[in-house]
Amino acid sequence: MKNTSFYSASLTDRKCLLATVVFLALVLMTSLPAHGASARLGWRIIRASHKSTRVDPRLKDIYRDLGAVFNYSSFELLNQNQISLRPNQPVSVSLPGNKTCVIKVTQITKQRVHVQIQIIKNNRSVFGTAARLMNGRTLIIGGPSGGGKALIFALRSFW
Amino acid sequence: MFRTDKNRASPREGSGFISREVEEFQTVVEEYRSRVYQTAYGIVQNADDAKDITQEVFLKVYTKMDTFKGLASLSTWIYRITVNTAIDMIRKRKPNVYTGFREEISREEANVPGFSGAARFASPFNATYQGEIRKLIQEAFTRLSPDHRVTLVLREIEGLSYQQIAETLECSTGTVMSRLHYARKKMQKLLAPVWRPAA
Amino acid sequence: MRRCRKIRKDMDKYLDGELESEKIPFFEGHLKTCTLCREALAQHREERQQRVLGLLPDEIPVTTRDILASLQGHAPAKPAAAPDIFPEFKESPLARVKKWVFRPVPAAAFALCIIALGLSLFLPFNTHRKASGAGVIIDQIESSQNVMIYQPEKTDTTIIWIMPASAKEIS
Repeated sequence: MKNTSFYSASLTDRKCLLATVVFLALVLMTSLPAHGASARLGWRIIRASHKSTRVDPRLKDIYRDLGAVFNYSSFELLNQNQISLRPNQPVSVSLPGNKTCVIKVTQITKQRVHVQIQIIKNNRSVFGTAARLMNGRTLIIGGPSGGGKALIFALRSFW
Repeated sequence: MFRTDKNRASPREGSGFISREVEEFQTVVEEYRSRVYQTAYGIVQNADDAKDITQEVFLKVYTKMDTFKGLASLSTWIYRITVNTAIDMIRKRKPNVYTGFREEISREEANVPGFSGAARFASPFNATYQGEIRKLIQEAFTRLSPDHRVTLVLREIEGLSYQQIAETLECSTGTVMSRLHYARKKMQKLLAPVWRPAA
Repeated sequence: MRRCRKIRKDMDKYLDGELESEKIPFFEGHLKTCTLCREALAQHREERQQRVLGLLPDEIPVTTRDILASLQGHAPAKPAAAPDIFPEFKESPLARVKKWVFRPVPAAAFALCIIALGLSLFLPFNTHRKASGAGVIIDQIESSQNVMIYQPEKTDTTIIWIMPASAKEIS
């Protein structure tokens, strides 16, 4: 009987320790990125065309901005994701047409996140830029991809 | 694709068991949820009704899967159910809920602050302006007949071809073209003061 | 003028991608030479874009879960509370608190959690402030093709548009 109660007590303690470890890990995970060590970026890959008038409702913001400048009527969201990047930790994003986009955060200041974006095709850099983004701002890189279509890469900082 | 006997597993079994057909149905819901809602919203221009229509559509899809003969594509079948459910909803509602009271959009209404006609499109986005224009577009749209609304939505929102629309609505492509022509003409007429306000 | 009338009549079909293939060369050929028709097409396209934008919902508020739940006619039932099998062994609330407070491991773990939470909340980790000025600053661009930078006013967006190598690709 004694053994049973001892066992049940230690099991509770173990559960308690496990819960503590999980909690501490969560606290660490939420506080460390905010320590200025990493930046949260969201990217979207969009295909614009004249072929239809279908617009993904999730792209209304892009549609308003691009619709005013370029005559595309259809905006299709091909892919989207959010990432947390530390400085000099590049990440590759696959783009249609055998292209790859490499995003690298070079510096995070109080006001801006400094990013380098490079688009690579067949192991050759076809486009590169360095930009500084304020929180909540979007940088759109795009261009015609033939057949009346355009490929658009939108990067937004969230941190 | 699905068995449709009445004793089949319900979508959420308390035991945690999910049958294969429910899993398949879940995939269908996942794939068509946005399209159904967007089409329904496009036709009725009301978020609550569009939500109800979406749920009703999937209930019909779930219970009538045995009547789906595979003669049309699944998407055509689902669009057809959506359109019919949305039209039923429009007919159930009092006419003035969707059709408005006045006959035309006045030039005063079209002259929303900071708005000066089509040239304004190239100008920077302005939330007030966009909101006002949107209201006028929605108001004009709800004055179209249900058939015209449906055809315009399937073409302009969903991007279906004339042939696909004809299959969905079970009519000829000539009818589709004629409905589109009249729907667009009426929209243009109603929104003429918006696109080209008086000097 | 008769040509212009024909073009105007076919504009919607052309924008729908449904203009008969044999008519397309005539249509596009005329657009190259007629500024008025070109402008009319651009305006028509813009009106259509605005119409789409006006009729689109802001979001898709129906989730797969909602739909599956609605098929049951009601939301999934909450699990019933476990039956009280041994009511005679039920602890008083005070006894339960005492049991936890006087056990070293849970007490230490609890204290550690409080300290960690305090540190994460009160230490000046979140030092980001709102800043004024341009939202996006482009420092450098390397491209073998021409690029156009566009900053629509009153938006949070900066656009870098890579111009096509051949003029044909420009829409």
